[in-house]
Amino acid sequence: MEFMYGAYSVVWVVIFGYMLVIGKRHSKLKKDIEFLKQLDK
Amino acid sequence: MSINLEREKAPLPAADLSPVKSSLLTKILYGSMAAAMLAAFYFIFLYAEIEKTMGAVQKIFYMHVPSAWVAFLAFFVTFVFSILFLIKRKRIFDTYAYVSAEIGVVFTIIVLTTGPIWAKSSWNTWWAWEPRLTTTLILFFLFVAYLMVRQMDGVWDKKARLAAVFGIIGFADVPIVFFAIRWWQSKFHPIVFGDGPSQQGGGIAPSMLVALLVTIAAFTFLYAYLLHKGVSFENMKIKVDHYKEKLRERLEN
Repeated sequence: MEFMYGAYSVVWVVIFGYMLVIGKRHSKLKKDIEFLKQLDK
Repeated sequence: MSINLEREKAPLPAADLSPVKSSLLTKILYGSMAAAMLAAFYFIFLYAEIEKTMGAVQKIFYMHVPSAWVAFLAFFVTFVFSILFLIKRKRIFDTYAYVSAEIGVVFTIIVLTTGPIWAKSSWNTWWAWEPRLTTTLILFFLFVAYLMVRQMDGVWDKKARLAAVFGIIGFADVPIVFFAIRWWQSKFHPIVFGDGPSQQGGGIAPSMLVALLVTIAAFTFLYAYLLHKGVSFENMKIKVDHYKEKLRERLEN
């Protein structure tokens, strides 16, 4: 049973970890865009 | 002097720098993925029967196999878009190839971690250098190398061309991974589908097959969602980089 819980935990940690990485990239890009908009004013 | 001032005031080329918004397609893919995932959990834990010999541990199969399917699909998409990029040299093909390879690596990590957990419970060892495990590990390293090529310094089109070659060569390992247990007669990995004269393999119970197919569908939606989201993000990043370049040129003038 522990093996099953372990495997399912790994799957969701990896998937949510990847989504978190994507989210971080997204927020960095948003900051870049805001900075460029300020610079262009 | 007045000309210089005019040049300084000249506006930058119009670029849509509004942040990446969720399109209708993103919402549809997200909704389909969430619904399919919930259905998959119902079929895995409530509908599919518990395997008699292995017990609950067999349910790892419903995450392991769909992850392998998504990894293969992702590398196939990279392979197709790498070829298209080398022929047509359009940046969008390169973007699709890159995002898909990244998703493929993520799902290969899942395959390479759930596999040993299964192995420990059923073979009493975390790892065995048997054909499928070894070829899957090689596949993982090939596409990690692909992603490393993308991170190198240099002009994007040179990197993209090199990565495209990596993507095409890397995909050659996918059929080897699939057929490894058939060609080299692995005693560890069972052939579940397509074995013997009837091509039915070891086979699984109908309720297990339904759970597996629903989970494969859910993971495919997840892949499509991640690919769409990733490509939209990369396109925006390209626009921002382009805009930065124009801004630098203007400031230098």
